[in-house]
Amino acid sequence: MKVFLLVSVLFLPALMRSQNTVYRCENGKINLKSTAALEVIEARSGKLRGVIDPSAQSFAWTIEVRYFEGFNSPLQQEHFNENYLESTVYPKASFTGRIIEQVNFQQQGTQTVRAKGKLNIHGIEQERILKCQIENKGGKLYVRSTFTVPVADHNIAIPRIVHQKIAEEIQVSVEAILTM
Amino acid sequence: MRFYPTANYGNIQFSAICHTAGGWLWLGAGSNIYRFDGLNFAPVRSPEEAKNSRVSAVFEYDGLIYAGYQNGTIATVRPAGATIPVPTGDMETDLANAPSLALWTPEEGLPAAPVTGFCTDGNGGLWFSTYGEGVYVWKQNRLFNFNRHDDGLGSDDVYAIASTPDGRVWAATDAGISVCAMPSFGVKSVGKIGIPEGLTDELIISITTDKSGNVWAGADEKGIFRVNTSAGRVDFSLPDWKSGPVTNLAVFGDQSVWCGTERNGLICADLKTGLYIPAGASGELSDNRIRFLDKDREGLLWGLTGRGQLFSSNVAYGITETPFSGIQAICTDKSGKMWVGSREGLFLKNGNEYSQILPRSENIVSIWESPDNGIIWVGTLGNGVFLISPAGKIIRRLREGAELPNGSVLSISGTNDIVWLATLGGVSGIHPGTLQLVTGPDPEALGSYYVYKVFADSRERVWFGTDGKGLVVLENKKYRSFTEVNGVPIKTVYSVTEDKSGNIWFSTDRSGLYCYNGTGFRRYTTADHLHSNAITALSNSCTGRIVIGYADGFDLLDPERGHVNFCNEDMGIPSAEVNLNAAWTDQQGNVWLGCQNGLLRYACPGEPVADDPLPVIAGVSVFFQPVDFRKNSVFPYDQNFFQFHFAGLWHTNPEAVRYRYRLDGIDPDWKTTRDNFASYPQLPPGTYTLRIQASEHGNFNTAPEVSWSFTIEPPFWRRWWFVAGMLLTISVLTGKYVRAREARLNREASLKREMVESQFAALKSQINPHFLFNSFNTLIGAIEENPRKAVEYVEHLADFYRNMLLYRERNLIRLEEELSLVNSYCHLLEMRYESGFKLTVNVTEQAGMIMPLSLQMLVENAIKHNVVSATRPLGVEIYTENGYIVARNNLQRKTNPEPGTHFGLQSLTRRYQLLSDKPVLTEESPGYFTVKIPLL
Repeated sequence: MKVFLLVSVLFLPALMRSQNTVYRCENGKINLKSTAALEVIEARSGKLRGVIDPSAQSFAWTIEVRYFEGFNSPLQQEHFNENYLESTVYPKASFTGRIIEQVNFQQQGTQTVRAKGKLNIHGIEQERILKCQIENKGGKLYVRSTFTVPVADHNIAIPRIVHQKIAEEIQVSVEAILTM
Repeated sequence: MRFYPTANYGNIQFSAICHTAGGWLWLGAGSNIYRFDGLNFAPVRSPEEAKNSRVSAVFEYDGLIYAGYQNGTIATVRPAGATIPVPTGDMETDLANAPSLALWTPEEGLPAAPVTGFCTDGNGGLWFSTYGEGVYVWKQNRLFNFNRHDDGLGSDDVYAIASTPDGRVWAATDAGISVCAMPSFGVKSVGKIGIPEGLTDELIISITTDKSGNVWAGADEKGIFRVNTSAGRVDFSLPDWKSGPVTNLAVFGDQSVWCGTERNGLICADLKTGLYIPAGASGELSDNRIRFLDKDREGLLWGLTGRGQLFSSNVAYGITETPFSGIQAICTDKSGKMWVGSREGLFLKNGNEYSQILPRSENIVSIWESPDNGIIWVGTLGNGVFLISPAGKIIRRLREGAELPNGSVLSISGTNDIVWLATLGGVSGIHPGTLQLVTGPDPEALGSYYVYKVFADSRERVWFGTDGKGLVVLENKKYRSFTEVNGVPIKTVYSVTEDKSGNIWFSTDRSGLYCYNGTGFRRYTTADHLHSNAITALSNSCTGRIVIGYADGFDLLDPERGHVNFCNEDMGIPSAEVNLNAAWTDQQGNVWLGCQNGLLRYACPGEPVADDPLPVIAGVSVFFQPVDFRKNSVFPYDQNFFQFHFAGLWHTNPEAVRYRYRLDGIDPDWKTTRDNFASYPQLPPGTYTLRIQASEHGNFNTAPEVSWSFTIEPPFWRRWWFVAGMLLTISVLTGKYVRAREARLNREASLKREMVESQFAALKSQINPHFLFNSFNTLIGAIEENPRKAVEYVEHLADFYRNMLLYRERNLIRLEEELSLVNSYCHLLEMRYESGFKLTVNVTEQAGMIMPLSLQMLVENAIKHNVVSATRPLGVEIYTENGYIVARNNLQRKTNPEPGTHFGLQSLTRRYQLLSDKPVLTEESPGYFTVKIPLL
């Protein structure tokens, strides 16, 4: 119920507008990478969903945690979902907010902007500023960003025994193409 | 006011100032920043990203200098790590050698709007404001943003920020003051100070904090406001501000606030009186737009004008001209009004105006306020004493008579019960209420009719400074006089005062200053760096420093450290000719000195102010290459040409700074110099400590010191590890050599033994009776049938034996020698077996060495072990192959093999093992027996 409310709140402003005033994406790519002393773990998903409202300079992104795949082993994926991210309790991770700069979305070419918003992972919300590139190519918006997420920020407890295998900061990269 | 021209530096225009804990002044100009020591500008170049922008703010945080730019770039330099070359004065050279600022790269990116200011919350947070994107805070490697839309900041256009010790950050915006805080990581709070909180003008464009933790804000229209930060309300503002926008603020203690304005230069707001004083200095400014204000550790006010001109002013000192001359007495009463007595009458100061109380004909020399009823007692030269009400009405006049032995009253002092009047006819004490004589002139007790100063101290003692009879004290109704201290006679005492700790200070006409602490005296003279021994006036200031007036200036003496600052024009202080006893300390601790043409005020700084140059090490070069001396302190033996550059940061008077330095470990004594560098070529290995002191007047006894220790290591061949390593290597090598030699000797010995054995075996086999018997039988046959052939046979036999005897002594012979021996041998065999034996020699390469008799032994073995007959001929082939000489015979074993020792082949193999890496190879394939001997 809570989740349903959250999602509807996230998308409500977008849904209320007519369809062709916002940019949308249903299949953005997201990559996670943990570089620890003993192991490098990567996971990815192609099911990142997002909207950008150019008039309000606002955005909302969300991803279902259980869709992440590509771990080093199925057991790792199971741990990721059950022990660390608890995807049954917190099925989604999201980032919503506004862009600090005044962005002209019509402008062709790449612009670097900073998105300020609330990053919600594992049910813990953190305010973050994330630097990203926006490129308008033929009416489509290409959005790219890389940033780090300290696991401690989101109350994700890593047992001491696997400290050497899981990094304290997860590198995240996002690539999405949004259309009107 | 002091200006810092930049003609030598390409007329750079400054845009930001920052005073750092290290004592340096950092300035932004164009896209570069400059480190300034008061005389020279040392540049640090901008990063690429800000080449075309301008520095808008400079700040020191956590050992880094941060430069914020108009385009939002932020760059840093670690002054401790950067090797900033000592400026040569030539800007192009200096810029070419300068290090660069490094772009600051938080993951969140940099703002795209001008950076307008920095501050720190004292709790690990670096804050900065922008004009367009609100306020940012950098905490635990994370950048957070406060803006209007998300966080309720007054406006995203922030003009300036300041922080208070409680960790809150105050942002000046178009919508009042926004109070930002991050009480715990990631948690934001934003409050507002606006009209409801007492701000009558919400357009705040400048902000700063004072020593009490309150915030001062400068508005666009309505002047300045003080926000009481604990109450969260404005608790002070100045009415009737007409000077336009306040672009900058600098607060000095709790006395004065200096305002930089957009159009009206500098204005000083006096907090005690609520007055705005258009700073006299602002007339000197080239333009009246003030862009930046700051204050430093010495209490100087620093500023930038709209045209980027840098100036500083020693604002603690100010002189106000008076419309009368010859000020001889000063007194401020309980209500704070100031009474000024001069040769031209008595005046009451009211702001910058003076109202005349006593006419020009009266020559006023002393003023005293009765603590009982507030009546002002005014002593004149020749015309007795006037008693004046606090409102300025003359109540009474005491003329020469029973109560007043003489009409000239040089000094007045007293208590509730008695007023002491020091006249040219002696001292009388009268009751301040009844004006009755309490104690008459007593020249016996005082020893003199002439008393320059009478002073009632806080411990009910009365001190008299006499002419000729030293200092006299009246304590418990007993007079005691001091006419000599430690063998130095004291004759004339001009001034007496008491400091905060109750010590009595008195000055003499020409033997300096004394301090009496109740038990002993301490004397100060020019030997203690007093400006002169002829002292005209004494007073004490709020800082505990003693103000000593002279006919040409004044000294500030810090009794605790014994440090003296002489104040004159060189320190940016107006010249003062202090009249006799024309010194006064008011209730705020400000000191007023009466001069020929005006009043000089030394304002109580209200906060600690440095009174010494700050010595710093500016750079260390080794062989003319700057090194990062904070990181490196160990140098190899050949890096031993050191140059030290230092600075004594004393912006009050940078030209006056002198240095004293000493390199402990090589210098026996201090060296005193004006130069700010020292060179030490060819320092021998050792440990050294460079010690530097700086002083503004050559008194190094109290000067602070900075030091740096370093080590020059001995060359590697004199280090213990090298010597130990060498000894170890030598012993290991020796051991190895001994063992190798032993092995070689062993090998040689066994080779010799083998050889002897093999020679013995060869001889044994050669003189084997069978061989001889067979040979002779062959010979007998031949003699009969073919005597010529028999001769040939004997020749071959002789040849063979001769060669055998010749070669057996040698280890190795040439292959051709061996082949000829084998030829001779085979010849004998062919003659004996005729067609039953056949030798084929196919040797292309005759080079190489071989063990003597080895091939012969193989042929002999073949004969010995195989059937040799005309029907089954034995063929022996000798040929070379890949560095081997090969002997091969067809295998047709005898059914009854001759008993042998198998000595020959085994011996050959063993001997070759000793001589060569390559072994002797023996192969037995179907039909053939092959032996390969390596050629050496």
